[in-house]
Amino acid sequence: MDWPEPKFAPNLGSAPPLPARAEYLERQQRARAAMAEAELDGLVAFGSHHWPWAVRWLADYQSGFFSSSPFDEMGYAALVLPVEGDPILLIDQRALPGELAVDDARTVVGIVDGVADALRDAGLVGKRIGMVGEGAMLERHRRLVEGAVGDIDFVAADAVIEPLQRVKSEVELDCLRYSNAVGSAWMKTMMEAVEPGRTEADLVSIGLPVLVAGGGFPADIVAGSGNPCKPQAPRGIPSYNATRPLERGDLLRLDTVGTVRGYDCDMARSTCVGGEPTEAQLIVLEQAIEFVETLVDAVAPEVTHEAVHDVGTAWMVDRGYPPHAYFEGFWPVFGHQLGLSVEGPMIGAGETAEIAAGQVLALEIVIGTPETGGIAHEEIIIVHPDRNEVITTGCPQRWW
Amino acid sequence: MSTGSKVDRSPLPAREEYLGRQDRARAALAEAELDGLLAFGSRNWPWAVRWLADHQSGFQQQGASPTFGDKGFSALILPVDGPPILVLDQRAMPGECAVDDLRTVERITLGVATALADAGLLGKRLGIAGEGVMLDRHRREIEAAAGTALDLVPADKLIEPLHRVKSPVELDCMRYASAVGGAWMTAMMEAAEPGRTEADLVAIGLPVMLRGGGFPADVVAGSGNPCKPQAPRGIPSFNSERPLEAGDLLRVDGFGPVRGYGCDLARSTCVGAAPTDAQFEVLEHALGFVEALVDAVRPGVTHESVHDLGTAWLVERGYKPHAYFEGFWPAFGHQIGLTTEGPFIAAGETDPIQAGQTMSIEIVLGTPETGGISHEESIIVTADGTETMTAACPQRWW
Repeated sequence: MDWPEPKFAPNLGSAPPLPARAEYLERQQRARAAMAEAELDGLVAFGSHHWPWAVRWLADYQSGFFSSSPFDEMGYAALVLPVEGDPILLIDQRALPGELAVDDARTVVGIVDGVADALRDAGLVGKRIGMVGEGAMLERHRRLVEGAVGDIDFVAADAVIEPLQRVKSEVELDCLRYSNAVGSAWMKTMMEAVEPGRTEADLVSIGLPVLVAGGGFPADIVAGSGNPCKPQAPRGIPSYNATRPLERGDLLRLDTVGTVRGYDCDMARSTCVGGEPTEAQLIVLEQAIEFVETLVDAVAPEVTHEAVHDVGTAWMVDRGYPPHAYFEGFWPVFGHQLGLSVEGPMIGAGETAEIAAGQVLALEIVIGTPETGGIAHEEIIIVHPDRNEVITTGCPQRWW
Repeated sequence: MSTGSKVDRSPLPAREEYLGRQDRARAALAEAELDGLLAFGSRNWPWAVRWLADHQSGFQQQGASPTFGDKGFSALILPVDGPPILVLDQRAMPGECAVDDLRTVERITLGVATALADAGLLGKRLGIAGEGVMLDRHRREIEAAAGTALDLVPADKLIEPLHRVKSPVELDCMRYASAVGGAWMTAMMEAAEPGRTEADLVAIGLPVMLRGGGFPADVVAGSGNPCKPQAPRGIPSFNSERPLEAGDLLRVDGFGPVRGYGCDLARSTCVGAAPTDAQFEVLEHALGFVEALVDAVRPGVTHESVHDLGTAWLVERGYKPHAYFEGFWPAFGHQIGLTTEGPFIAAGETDPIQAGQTMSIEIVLGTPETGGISHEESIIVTADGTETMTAACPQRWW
């Protein structure tokens, strides 16, 4: 597996340009063509602070409001895009003219009321409408929009629009190279700080300034530690432990996810704390890297995501692991797309879409035995016609 | 305003408290002639499942998969007559949640359909709580798996009031969260000086939050002269490139959960210089505004009337009635607990305030000359007044 130098330094001074307005307009045109082919008259795309991709990809907007309160609709935005006609963007914040990739951007108090008005203005009431951003549109949203304009012939359309954004543009690829250069520097800082006596939270505290200085913000840091290695955090937030000091001989795993200028970074590293790993620990540490490298080598254009998953399953079984690794079957995948969010298709069974050049994939594993507990490894790659480019090379793989 | 803070980690609610909540929810459901409740929770909007069953998904939301559907969600099925079933997306050990029938499933929606059938609730009248979580896609998938349409009745307004008044254990959790939040904000404000970026302040403050057991939901900053948001849309809500300049106004609003309970406060200052007269006036006005509203909060007073007081306060001083947000967030605060919750301090919120509520009172205030600065305190409503939980962070930094 090639291990190239990162293209970008992990600081904002080296950050590449974000997509220009023209790129968004071209995406809208591609979406219109896909809708027409699916015999849809238009689409309603929903995006939220936490699940932004549909509106962000089509209209360059992501709500800065954190809350998704049932008592108002802050934290959401929606795009009404007719096949024939101008788009209307409903947002929950002020925006200046030219700031977004839609001329008719309406700041509204209630997103659902704004959507109802926009559907009327666009002549889409009573028409066949694709629903995109299904991971953001609430049951309550539909109820309230229909309450305002009557029953709507909504058609689930993530499957129509998501493939259009799966292959990234050159500008987006550079944004993802940059975000993962920052992510790698973030992880490297944490791994360099690993020593007995520090808590998982101490490592997170030491690492986060690197992410923040690079223009990012953490979505989550999922840690595990101990001997055997296991999650030490309570359920919920945060996903690491703030009280237990690491001990010499512990295994430690860190999986970081964050957003840098809108584009995600994601990677995992593991090590043995403060000393030489035992033989059993060394085996799982090395095998985690080998597993991910095997999957990276299996990724190529026209190979299905499912086929890569099958390679991983066979690898596990060959080495005496359960076919689904340490997650015990409830997260039965070995990776996912990475872009504006942690996206599908997954590297999982049933994901029969073929991989294409220009996709950005996260390949990962939590692997272990009852003796060692589970450790993690994850790399991010860009798929090229003839090779795969690892973009998380700013952080070494081995820390033992 | 009386002040209080609690810096020791207090116990989290015990299992018995959750069972008591389930019984109270059942009684409310029965009174509303519902047969049961379907509560949805997510990592980012957890309250309904967390409050009833002590579970919050640790998964970030992910794209749907043919094998596991949506990660980042959990659901509780609570029959009026019968034991609850918790459907979750992670492993959980026996006794770890406040429900005996824990089901770790690959697809939440299929798990819900099965649980509804097992609980005898298919075809029955169900309340839906956690309306800010349940996706339209969830409903479609549950109905397809169950083979029947669901008779769902919006029930946030039924269940939310039950959790509005916090228990003594929860109040201590809130005091602790706010103590951590106060120390977090203090660290950021102490670091405010020319040459540093908004992101530098965030980076300096975060270790305090993290070591206290918290995680930031967001840090919303503004700066400049006039003061305004310098961040691009989306995440993060602060600027990482522009150095603060002497004479800038700066506002920082930090919020996030600490051991599951939210902290939320805002502070402002003038960076590296004495404020001008105009800056001084808005800085002091923001404090005066929040203090006026805190003083108005009492059991029996409606949320709306506190809002009306704030509107009158602004108009009397020549500000627009809705302050600097220009009408698109027409509220002066909210409940705070497991999330940023309602009722808001806003028009139309006619519920009387009760002792035991925890609220954040806030404003972004300014003029075209100064830009908008912010101030926010989180309080507990007591029988005879309020207790400010965020008092550990000084109000004035100028």
